Amino acid sequence: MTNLGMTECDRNAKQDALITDLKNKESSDFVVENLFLSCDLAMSTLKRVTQWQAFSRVWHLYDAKWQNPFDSAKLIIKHLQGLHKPFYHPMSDCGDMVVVTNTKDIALPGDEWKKRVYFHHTGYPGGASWTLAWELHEKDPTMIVKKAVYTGMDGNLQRRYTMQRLLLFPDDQVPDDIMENITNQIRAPRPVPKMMTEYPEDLMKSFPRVSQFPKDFVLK
Amino acid sequence: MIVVRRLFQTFPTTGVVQGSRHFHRWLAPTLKTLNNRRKKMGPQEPSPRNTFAEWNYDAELYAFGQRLQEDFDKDALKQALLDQSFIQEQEHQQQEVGIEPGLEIQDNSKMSLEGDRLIQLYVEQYLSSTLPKLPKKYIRNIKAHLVNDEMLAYISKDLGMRDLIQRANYPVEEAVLARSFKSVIQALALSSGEDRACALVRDLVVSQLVGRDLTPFCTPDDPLEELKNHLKANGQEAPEPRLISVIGKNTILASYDVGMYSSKVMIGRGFGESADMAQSMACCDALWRAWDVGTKRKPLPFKLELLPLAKFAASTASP
Repeated sequence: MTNLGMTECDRNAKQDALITDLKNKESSDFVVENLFLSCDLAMSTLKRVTQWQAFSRVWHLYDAKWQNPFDSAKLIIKHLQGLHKPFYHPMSDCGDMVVVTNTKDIALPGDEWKKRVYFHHTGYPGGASWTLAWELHEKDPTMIVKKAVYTGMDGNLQRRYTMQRLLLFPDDQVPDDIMENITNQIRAPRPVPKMMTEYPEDLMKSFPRVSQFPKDFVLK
Repeated sequence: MIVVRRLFQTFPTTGVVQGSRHFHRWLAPTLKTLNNRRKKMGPQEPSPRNTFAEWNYDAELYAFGQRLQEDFDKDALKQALLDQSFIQEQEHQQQEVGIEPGLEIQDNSKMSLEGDRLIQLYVEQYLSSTLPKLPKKYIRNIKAHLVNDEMLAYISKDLGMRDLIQRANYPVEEAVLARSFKSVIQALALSSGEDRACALVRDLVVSQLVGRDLTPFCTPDDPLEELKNHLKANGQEAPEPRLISVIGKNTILASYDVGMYSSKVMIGRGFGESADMAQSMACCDALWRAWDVGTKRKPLPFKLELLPLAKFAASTASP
């Protein structure tokens, strides 16, 4: 069996809707392991496409709805830097793209909305400002996730280039040309429960109840 | 360097302390002076080892055979390492002196032809018996890679034959090195028999394939057509390419993943920067799997009982 370049992230990508069930059943012996077994000086076509596939930039989708942005940042950073790949090296450009949607629906733990403060200084005397998390979120609903990812990484020269691979969207409206690139979805750590308002009206009414409000009770 | 040695000799570093008592402030100026003299002299003629006074050619020939652990016939080996240009030069020198030119010795040109035939035949026999599923066309490609002047010259240079070959000019050309290597193989066949010569070819020439990716030699010009023919010949259904995934479709780094199927069974898989590239790689992959030449093939066997060369030659010539 040949040594075709397939990484773990690509295998994740394969679990997406793009692959057929047929392939899943039959491809057990098509799994690829070591990329660098034989070392010829001249690169054959097989080696070239193998490397192309191994170092292809995978596009991941992450739904931030009801997720803790600081826990999410760890997951996003792992994919942005390519830390999940077996051949990761800090000097090799093997990071992936991550598209984060629904950043306006993030859930901060405890009373972080009120207590977390973002500091900014304009550089001029008296230019310091402190913005509460809920204020910042009102101004720009992607900023908290962006800052969580940015501060979650080491401050080195690569950080700003890594950040360029992160695309943030406040809602689920993502342009088609970006959506077509995506081949993998990062599983969010927290389950997203269905809200009461999301159930249809008739189902809510017909749902069995222990007691009913009196008919003349005025609901606020 | 002679001056440096002299300097060492005048101040011998014997005794308990081994000469590291002071900085050698004379060393750098000495080396600089030597270097300047060398520059002033300009580029020098190469001085091959066999022009040195204490060169003992017979002893070197014997040592060469011992290094290869072979018993060479002395005269045969001597002839194998004698190039045509050497005889011509000798005769030319005789003419200049006024002697009637005429030497009793023979060069290696005839031997090299016979040696070439032996190497070609053995390599072909080895490859066709270890890669039985591979079509003849691609076996010829691998053989051409092994049995060309460049490769044989590389091998003979590694064996130290550059100094042993008797020829007119130095350094030795690739063609001369290759010709001498072929002749040495023939000399061994004459001395210890064809089997020993074949074993040497196996150990020196065929072993160049160890760890080598064979796929560049076995890449067809039109993989899809080749795969169709291959499947048809084996009574299988025609190949059907399917797109498994596309990563980063709208980007410059798009990567296509194509599977090749025959009667709903995956027979090959390929990647590439475009769908066409990935499809042709999938075809190649299917073929390489069928021919046992992919990167996951077993290592080449070197303990192999093969037919005598004459029988093999007869079997290939008859059909």
